[in-house]
Amino acid sequence: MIRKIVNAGGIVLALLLIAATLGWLWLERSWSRWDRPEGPLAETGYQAFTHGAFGLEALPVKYAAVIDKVSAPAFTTTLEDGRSPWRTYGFITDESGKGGDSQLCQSNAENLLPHGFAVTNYLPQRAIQTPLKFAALTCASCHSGRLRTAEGLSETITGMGNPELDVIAFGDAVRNAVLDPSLTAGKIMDAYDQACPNDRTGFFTRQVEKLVMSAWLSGIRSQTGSETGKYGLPYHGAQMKDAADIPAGPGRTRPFRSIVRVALNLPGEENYAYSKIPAVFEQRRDLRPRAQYDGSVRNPVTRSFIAVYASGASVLALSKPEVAWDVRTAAAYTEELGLSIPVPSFAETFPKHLPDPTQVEAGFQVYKTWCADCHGYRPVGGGQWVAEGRWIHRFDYLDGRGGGPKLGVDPARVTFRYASLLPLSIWATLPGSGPAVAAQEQRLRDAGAAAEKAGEPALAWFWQQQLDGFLLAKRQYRLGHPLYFPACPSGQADCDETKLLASAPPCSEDDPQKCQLTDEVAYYNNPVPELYLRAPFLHNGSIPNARQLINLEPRPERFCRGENLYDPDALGFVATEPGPDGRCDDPRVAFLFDTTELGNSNRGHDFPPWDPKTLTDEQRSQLEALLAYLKTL
Amino acid sequence: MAAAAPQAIRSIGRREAARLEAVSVTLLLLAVGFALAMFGGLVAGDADFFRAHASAWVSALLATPALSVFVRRFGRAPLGDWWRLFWSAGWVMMAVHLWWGLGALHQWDAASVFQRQGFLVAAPIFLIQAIWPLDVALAWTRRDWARAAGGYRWWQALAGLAVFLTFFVSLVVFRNDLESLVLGLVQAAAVLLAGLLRKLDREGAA
Repeated sequence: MIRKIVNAGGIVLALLLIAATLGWLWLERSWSRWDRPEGPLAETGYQAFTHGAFGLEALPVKYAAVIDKVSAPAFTTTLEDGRSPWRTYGFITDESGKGGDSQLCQSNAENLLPHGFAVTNYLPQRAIQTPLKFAALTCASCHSGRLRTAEGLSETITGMGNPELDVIAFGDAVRNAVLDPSLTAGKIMDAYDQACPNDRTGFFTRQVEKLVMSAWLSGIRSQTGSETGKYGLPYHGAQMKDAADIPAGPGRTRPFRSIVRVALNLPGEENYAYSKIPAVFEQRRDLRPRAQYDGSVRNPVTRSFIAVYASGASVLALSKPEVAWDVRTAAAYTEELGLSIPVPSFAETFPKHLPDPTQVEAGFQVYKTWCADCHGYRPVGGGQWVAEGRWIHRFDYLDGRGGGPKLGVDPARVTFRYASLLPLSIWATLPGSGPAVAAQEQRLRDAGAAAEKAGEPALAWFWQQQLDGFLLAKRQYRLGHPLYFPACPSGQADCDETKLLASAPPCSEDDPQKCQLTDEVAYYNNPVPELYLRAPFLHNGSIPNARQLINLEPRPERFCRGENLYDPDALGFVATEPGPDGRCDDPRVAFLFDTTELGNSNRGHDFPPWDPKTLTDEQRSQLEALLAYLKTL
Repeated sequence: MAAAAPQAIRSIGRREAARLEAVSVTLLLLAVGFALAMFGGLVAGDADFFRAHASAWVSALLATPALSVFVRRFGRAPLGDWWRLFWSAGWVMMAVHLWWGLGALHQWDAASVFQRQGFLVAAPIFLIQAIWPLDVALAWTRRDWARAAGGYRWWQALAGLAVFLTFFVSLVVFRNDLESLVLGLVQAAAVLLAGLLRKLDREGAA
């Protein structure tokens, strides 16, 4: 009898376990349900750009709502000066007062999280969808900004780089927070319940949320902890704004340090390739055939993939249909942003600072003499950018090869260690299908063999590691990763992918222009539409405004960055001077930008090559006219 | 005669209890294996990839007792409930593997399986997706399932051999990872041991 009961109990238990597993799988399907948005590009593209899922989940929303309560030491910089943690890091928060007093909760997260944060169900890295909501970065977190003038703040402008965003410091704050041994899912949930008492969920959902949050915390803590050998311990407190500790500062990133770490699994600490967060206007291929300041990427989708991959999105997350669609759609949006999708012009943003039309006309002639060869031009009175010029869409080599104009700007962006390993490694990160996957495998093998032959055994080992990773990924993405490149556009039957492979790294083409990814020691000449939204200038953001860029004024050697005011007359930011002690004591502009530091040089790009200290009246007049014309771009 | 009736009833009761026990154990193992394969995906790097693989591993594990019983008893003694239940449970997990492998990883594009895995691996996998469920269906519908005769006997032998060879080729010959190799070797060793025992049984009987 007992045996019978035990066996019957076993059967019931087994059936319950099967039912529970099936139930979970059914719930997973409902959590991951996604319908492709439909509508015009301006609408769906904007949605993807500002609210899409990109695999950049930062924190559970419930945690984001109480970071100041449960993780204050991790997020506090001591330089808040009354600002919220979000704003201290430069995120765009609602300062209108409309929602200023409202507590961020899961129910209002879409409205109260800073601009550019999406709410998704994806668990970071693993990209599994659960009922736990995450606050996730989107393109708009970095590529949207506001101009802060004496009169107040402008509207949020989509597509410009956020000049105040301290994204590396924010990353360190998150790493600090999750490493806190006393932080638990229970502590977060309890704090959240207190902060948002009306935002209760059902018993089952709460238990699942707590379980998932616990798993997330344990996973991210373990991952962050294991990576301290490569990333070091995160900085905290006032170090967050100290250039000696986090040298990128507001409005800048270290994209190649990141990509070296994630794509090559090598340390990037000695990488000084600082980059301002770029504007992403008018990226259409005919106007901008190669993306990035160094022209290293040919395709806008690949550029977007690399951006989110370097920012921490996993290859797995990027394979999810929703994420891949968002990457493609956001890339397409940037191609049209400023063209068919309007961007506010200088005149619309600063109607009281309109340049004199006569000066604009005169300035256009100066521009044609000194700038148009490399950048093309926009006709006076408006119209589409004319991408014509002797040196436009050309690589400008640092060693003068090719005969282009001598730029003389900081070289660190294109001369860092491991740069030559990136094109093939990045290409092989996303296994293709058909002939592409075989070519990827073969080229990785060839790279290993070449390293061996060249007497570089460690490099041969590196390529073996890359190959092992590729072979595993190849098994994971049997049909090819949805973002692999170069790929034939869907529906184009006469396209032959085998032919496209000539443009894949290492390129067999002699002309790097045709190559999907390059590591040329050069900068690339592209148009500069919406120039007033591109300050600070040069790729490393070392020149605060256009007056200084064109040498109408001396370029400051040291200045303070943060919430700098925008000066429409100077077409850029006011370079706040450091105090007598050489420090930036105002907590709102606390970062000291020192152009004598590695990677920060503000030298070069002297067109016209006039010394601002010895300008003649004629030269000054020409430069004033040029500045007037630049305001119309 | 009167005393024989309760004894027969007791014997039927014992058989039923043994059958219940077999159902209980097999179902529990199936449920645990299924749950581990599915929930394990939540902690693995790639849930779909893990589930596709883990379901195949669980299928191999569940099929191993059935294959061993089959090798030892086929043609000699009734195959019995344990064989039928483990054989069925193994197939259920193979169907789960099909769902994740073909459905999630290959988006139901069967041709791409041949493209990526090659004919030698892909063809047998699809073949047993047809043979195995048919054999399971016959085992639950035919009266002579335990002691097959004639053509059905040949069919059973073919189905058993096909499943074993498919696992061996997939797990051992084309070992994709250590887990697969270990499981494949364990299964092969169990089948080999059953074969040895069968040989010893025959020699003992002689």
